Amino acid sequence: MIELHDLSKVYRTSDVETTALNRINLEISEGEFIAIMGPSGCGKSTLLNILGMLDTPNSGSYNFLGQGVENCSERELAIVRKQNIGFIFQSFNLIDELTVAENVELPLLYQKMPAKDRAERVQQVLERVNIAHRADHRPQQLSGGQQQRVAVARAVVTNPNLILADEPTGNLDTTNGEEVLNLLGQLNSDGTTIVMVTHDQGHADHASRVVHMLDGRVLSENVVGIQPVSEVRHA
Amino acid sequence: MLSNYLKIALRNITGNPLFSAINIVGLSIGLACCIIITLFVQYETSYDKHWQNADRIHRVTRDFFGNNLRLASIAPAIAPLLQQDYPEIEDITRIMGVGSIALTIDENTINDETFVIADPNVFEFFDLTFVSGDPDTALAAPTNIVLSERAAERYFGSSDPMGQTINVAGRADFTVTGIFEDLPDNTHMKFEIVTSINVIPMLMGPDELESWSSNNYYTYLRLPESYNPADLEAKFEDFIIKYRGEDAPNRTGLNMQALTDIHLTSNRDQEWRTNGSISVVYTFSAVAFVVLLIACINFMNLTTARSTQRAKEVGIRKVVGADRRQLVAQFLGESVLLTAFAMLLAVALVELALPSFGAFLEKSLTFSLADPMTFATLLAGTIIVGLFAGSYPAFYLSHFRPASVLKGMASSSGSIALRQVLVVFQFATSITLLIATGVVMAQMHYARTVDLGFDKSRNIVHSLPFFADLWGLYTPLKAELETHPDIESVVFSSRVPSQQNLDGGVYIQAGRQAVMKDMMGISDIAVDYQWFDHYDVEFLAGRAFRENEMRIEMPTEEQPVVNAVAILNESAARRFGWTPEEAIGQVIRDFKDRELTMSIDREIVGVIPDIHFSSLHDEMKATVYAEPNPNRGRRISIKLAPGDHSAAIAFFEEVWTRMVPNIPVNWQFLDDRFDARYRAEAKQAQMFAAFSAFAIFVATLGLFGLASFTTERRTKEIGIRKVMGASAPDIILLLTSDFTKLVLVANVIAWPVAYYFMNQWLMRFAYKAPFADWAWLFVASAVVALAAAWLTIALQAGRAATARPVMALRYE
Repeated sequence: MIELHDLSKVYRTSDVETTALNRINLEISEGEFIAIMGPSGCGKSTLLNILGMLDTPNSGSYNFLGQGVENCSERELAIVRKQNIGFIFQSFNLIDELTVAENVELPLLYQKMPAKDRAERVQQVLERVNIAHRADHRPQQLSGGQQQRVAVARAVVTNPNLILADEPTGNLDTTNGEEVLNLLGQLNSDGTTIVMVTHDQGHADHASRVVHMLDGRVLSENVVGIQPVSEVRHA
Repeated sequence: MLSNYLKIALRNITGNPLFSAINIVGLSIGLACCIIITLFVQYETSYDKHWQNADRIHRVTRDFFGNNLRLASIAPAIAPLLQQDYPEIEDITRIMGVGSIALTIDENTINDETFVIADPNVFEFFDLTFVSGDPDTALAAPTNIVLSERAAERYFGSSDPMGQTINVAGRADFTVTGIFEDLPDNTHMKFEIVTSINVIPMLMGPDELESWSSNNYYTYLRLPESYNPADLEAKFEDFIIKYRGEDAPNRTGLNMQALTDIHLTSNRDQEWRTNGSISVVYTFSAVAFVVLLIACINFMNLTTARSTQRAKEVGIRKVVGADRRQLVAQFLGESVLLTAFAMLLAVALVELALPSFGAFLEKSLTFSLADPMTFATLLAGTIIVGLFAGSYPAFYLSHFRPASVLKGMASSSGSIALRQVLVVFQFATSITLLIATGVVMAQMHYARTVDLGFDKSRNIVHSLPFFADLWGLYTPLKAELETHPDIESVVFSSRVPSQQNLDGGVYIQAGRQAVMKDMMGISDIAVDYQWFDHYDVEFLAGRAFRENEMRIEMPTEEQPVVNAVAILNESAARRFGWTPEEAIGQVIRDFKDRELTMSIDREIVGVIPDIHFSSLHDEMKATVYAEPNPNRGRRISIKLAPGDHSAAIAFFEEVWTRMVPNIPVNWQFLDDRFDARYRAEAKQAQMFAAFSAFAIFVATLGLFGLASFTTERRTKEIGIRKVMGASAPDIILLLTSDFTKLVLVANVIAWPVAYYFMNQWLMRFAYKAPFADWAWLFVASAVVALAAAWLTIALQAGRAATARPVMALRYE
């Protein structure tokens, strides 16, 4: 599904150059549940942003579903994104001015789904994440766990092939965190590919493969429950 | 999708009351200014377009080159000759405005200002609609009279005026033979009572209609379709040569003006009334546009300033699939919606302000939403303004990269420079308007206080009836009035100060050969012998007139040259090549006929300085002061003693009513007449003042919003500075210094711009307030702008500066 070859991302200011990703090579197959781990500043989120086409690499190639996306225009990326990818963020990123249902409905609006279908689909998804009773509330009226469930609902409402979750449990307590992970697990069981950035080894254990990063490089890839592949992919 | 945008927009508007209020109020003021000015411009440009064949009608005007006269009206002899010589003229008509005239109906005498004498074809020419009578025959007899509906209502109420009698000026009875629909207000002409030009020989003598010098007749002609008026105009020089002699084109010329151009572009001597001005139309259009622009800038500034608040939403929308185009559409939609609210408020403001604005401008401006054109214009205006105001924020906000903004890394730094430029623009325009207001007011003050060269105070003026025997009426009137202890003196003159002096004669130094190059057209005024003393005019040389120099015999064929005296002003003496002292004892010849056979030889007995006889708009003309003749000298000036004037005025009214029972008393204070000459400018000053106030208010409103966001953004910095020991004044200074710099830069830009434009504006005055009189305005405007900015910012800064630092730090 995803193939990254020698992918690099460098941030430049007037006098400092920071290499966020350094010649990353990574393949992700459909149906996988990947956890990306590593210390702060190692490039996890940058990698996730590039995977989600929210950011573009400086060099290297990125194939998504067999198609190179590194040279796509912003408009083309928006189309690929809305058709295939759902996002979950640590800070939920819900629009405060919209209700729960309206937040979840948003991706469907951009897919120009008819109103009746949208309402049905939103209801289904809200029920699935067990937040339907709060459909008319505003995000600020919900607990953190509830807000993240809304964010999950929004991420899955379009039935994406891929869900990118950036520390989805980072702002949640253990119970709520577990609940969100279980939701992700269910989605994965239903066939959705999931890439999750996390700090927590326990949470990473929900994944089928863990990618360890350090200083912008992939340090190792473990298949959960199987002998770690202990190699540095790039010199 | 649209409903989603609408929802978000409405919630954004209600969720940010300060932001929304500043934008809606600012935009509504800008829009209201624009609507009102558009109505004004629409009205001003509609003048005389309603007449049938308006595009083919032209007014013939006349210039005199010697004394620089540019008359709106011409002599009565010209029209028939034009029609006779140029068959392309389809029709021609003359109208003479009489000014104030006494009309007596059923023993009630009233002064009427709307009486005219016109060719009988005037109704057909302008296609006036008759409600009674027949336009073709209404003026068939010389003593027929036709009224407008308004005049009919005024004089006859509900009774039928047809066949009734009106006595005009105590001279003749006229019979009402027709009633026509009122002229619309948007015409440069003004008449409600019309009688036939054929009555002129009876009222003004048998030669009047043959006259080439009685330039009191507005003359309109109609040309065939697609005929180029310049072709006819080109023939006027030959026409003048044919009827006035080979050298006449050096003295006088005829021109034409398109009927529809008169109101906005004609500013001739002796217009029907003060016309509008195209430059005023342009100026106020520009000013209204500037106020709206300032409001639009508020929207741009405030929206980009709070972009960090919207950045997250942009990021999320992009993440879930929105492309930039959709976001641009969303933000533009929000801006249009906000503008729509502002437009509703603006319409309400216009409805509230229009009656007083219309009354102030003395124009019947109308505004109705029921009019589909108005509604469509407002709708289009809302969309255009909304798209314009929203354009920069929409493109700016939609460019955010979701990866950055969702991490909270969105910064508005990119737009800070632009915001500063826009704030500078807002303040520069506001300061320019402030200075403009100040300069207009300074010129008005100058006009009121400048030494005119005579004392106009405590004077009331009145006209004597034009048919009365001057000496027979004036001598006893003056004698009786001067018995009152509160009346200091009474004098007559052909024109009173404040009037444009349009009279003039042809003069040459006596003894010189009467060749064209030595003959001079010079203005002249007939004055009473005490006139100079009455108006406290000093003499540069010589003396005033004596009583026995006032009555002279006019030259006749038997005695073609008579002797008299004259007083010159300094310019007139200079035109003859004399200093004031040299002029005394010289003789000038005042020709009284075209053949130059009859003249009055005038010995110069005195020279006075040039005085500002008219308003400061007009150059002080070279002028010859002389005794009256039977047709000139019919305005009296009454100098009142200091203190309460009511007893003297009551006495004057009583004496007048007794001595001139047919003519209603109609005096005016001379000071008021001078003020009236500056009325247009005074109104402009008021309008400028109002618009500058709006501009400053809207700009300040924007600054308030901007300051509140800046303060909010710097809350943490303020907290840290306070922990480090900064005092409240330190913080206030910190926050105000940035904006202070901007306002100072705005001043630097505004000053030369204002100086340039106001110098241009002052060009309309022959005599301008010196720069020293208004230089202080530049500093004052800077102070006002700075004070407005400081007050606005200090309000915000003070709140931030006095908050406990822990609150600020906790904010993070």
